Amino acid sequence: MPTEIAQPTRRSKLVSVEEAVKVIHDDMYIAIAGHLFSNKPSHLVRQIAKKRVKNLTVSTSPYASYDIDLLIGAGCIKKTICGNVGFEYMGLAPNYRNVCQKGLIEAALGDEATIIGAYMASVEGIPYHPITSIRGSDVLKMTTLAKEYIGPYGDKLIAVKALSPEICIIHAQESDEYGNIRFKGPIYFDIIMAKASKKIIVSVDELVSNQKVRSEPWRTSIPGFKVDMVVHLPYGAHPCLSTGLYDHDEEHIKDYINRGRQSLSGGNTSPYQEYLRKYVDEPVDIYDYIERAGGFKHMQTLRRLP
Amino acid sequence: MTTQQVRKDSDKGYTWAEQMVVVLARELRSDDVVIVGGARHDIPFGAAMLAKMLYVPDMTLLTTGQFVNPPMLPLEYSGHTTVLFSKEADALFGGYEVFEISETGLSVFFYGGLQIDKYGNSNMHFIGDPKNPTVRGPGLVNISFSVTAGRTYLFPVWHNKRTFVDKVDFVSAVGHLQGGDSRKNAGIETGGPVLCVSPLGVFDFEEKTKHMRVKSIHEWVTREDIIENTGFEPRWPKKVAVTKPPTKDELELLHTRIDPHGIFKGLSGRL
Repeated sequence: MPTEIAQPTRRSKLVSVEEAVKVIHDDMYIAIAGHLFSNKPSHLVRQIAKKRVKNLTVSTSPYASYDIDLLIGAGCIKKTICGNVGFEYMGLAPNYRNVCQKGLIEAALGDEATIIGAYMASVEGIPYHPITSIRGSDVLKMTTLAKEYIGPYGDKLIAVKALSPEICIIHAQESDEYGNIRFKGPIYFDIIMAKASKKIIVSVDELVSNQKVRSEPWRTSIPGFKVDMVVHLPYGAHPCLSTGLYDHDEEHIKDYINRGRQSLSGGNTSPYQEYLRKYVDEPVDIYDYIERAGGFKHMQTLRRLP
Repeated sequence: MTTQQVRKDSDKGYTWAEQMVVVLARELRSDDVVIVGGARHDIPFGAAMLAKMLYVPDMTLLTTGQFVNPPMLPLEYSGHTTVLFSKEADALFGGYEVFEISETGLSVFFYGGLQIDKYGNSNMHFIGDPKNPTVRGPGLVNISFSVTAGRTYLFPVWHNKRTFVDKVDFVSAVGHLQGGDSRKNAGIETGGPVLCVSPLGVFDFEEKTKHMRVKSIHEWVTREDIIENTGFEPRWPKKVAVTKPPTKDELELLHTRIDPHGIFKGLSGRL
């Protein structure tokens, strides 16, 4: 009869939000995944803002929103690398616009080919990625991300320098405790950004069992061995949307934009400071945040299922 | 006055934005691969949906970083969320694929712009000195497609002397550059802007010079409206056509299926 052999179990990657952001410190270069206001790891971002981390360099997908604007509002950012920061039909990003106009931060501009190309370079382990598609444009004269060069075969090319974030923070819909990440809709640039980064922290709305993950491996987009930490944060993308689960909170975002605008134009910074106090500094956890942002009842109204 | 006349568009039972949408929709072909999305999504998305529903069901519609052939759901104020909550599409279209087609191209892309010049170059970035701009644009949209897309269509939602300028302050999306062969000489092999569809008319580009030329003017617009509101002298054909207004079917689909929320009735733009 075979004897029972004690087998070690796999290590869980589930951590608290405090533990997750412990690794983020001053002068770091981080990437924030998601796109425009989809799948933004908003609660992780608020925790970084709460710590008032300084001098961050932050890159995103070509379109960012709440993430960049909030970190600027909390004074955390030294440099941004992105294409566009804004809230689409709801309005411009107040803090980003302000610091760009006054030259208070370094805002490196890129578009899809430059920014994705730069992440691709890191994914492939090369110092820069050749691209061709932005020739002729004045963007080439302005951007700090790209340079023209002649390739070894005589081709006129543009080199975008590799972007290698120290940490990438992501919001996804589901994960098991081992960090096998699953989405319920478009994945945008998350996989490329994750692969380009040295460490990956993911917040998820829902935890699923490893058994469920293993029964449908084709649903896993980022395998757990790539992921360092998972934080379970229901509605963790709010006020941004989480694809397939809940929509963006239009009222909350409009209020955010207004507070930013008022604070910047009137010289009275209290409306924005009030936002930081109420939603960033005071909440003790995600549940406290949800309560302050309208409660679960309000969050339910953001769920739009077909 | 001019402005008064131009404002009459709604008397015709459709708006200037709806006129722009149908002109663009009629341009799309069965074998086209078209991508829409980004900050100014409404007109291109509406045009692509109308084309797919009424004329070219085989056309492939992509949404940036999201889907291949998303469902034909009513447009929303956000181009970003329109299709996110549907489980229905042919496939996902992710970030790597966006990079891939940015570099290798697709059939059609649509550009707006803070400024558009007589050679169809579009400025989406800075008005004034780029180092110290008086106006900062919405930032970058994908400028690669101005080089790699087979055809581009310009759809400025304002037609005035601030938007239609002799020369853009900053070239974001390349058009026909300095006209003539300059685009080809810059090593760009695709055709560039085919049409510029504005709230007042439809413009194409002269074969040789690549200078913007009036193709047709919308039915409520006069020749003087165009001259007074354009910051350069467009070329005129011998006979100026009137843009074919939206048909009954086009309007019906727009009003009931594509834009029941009336986005094209309330769009800001025009003069």
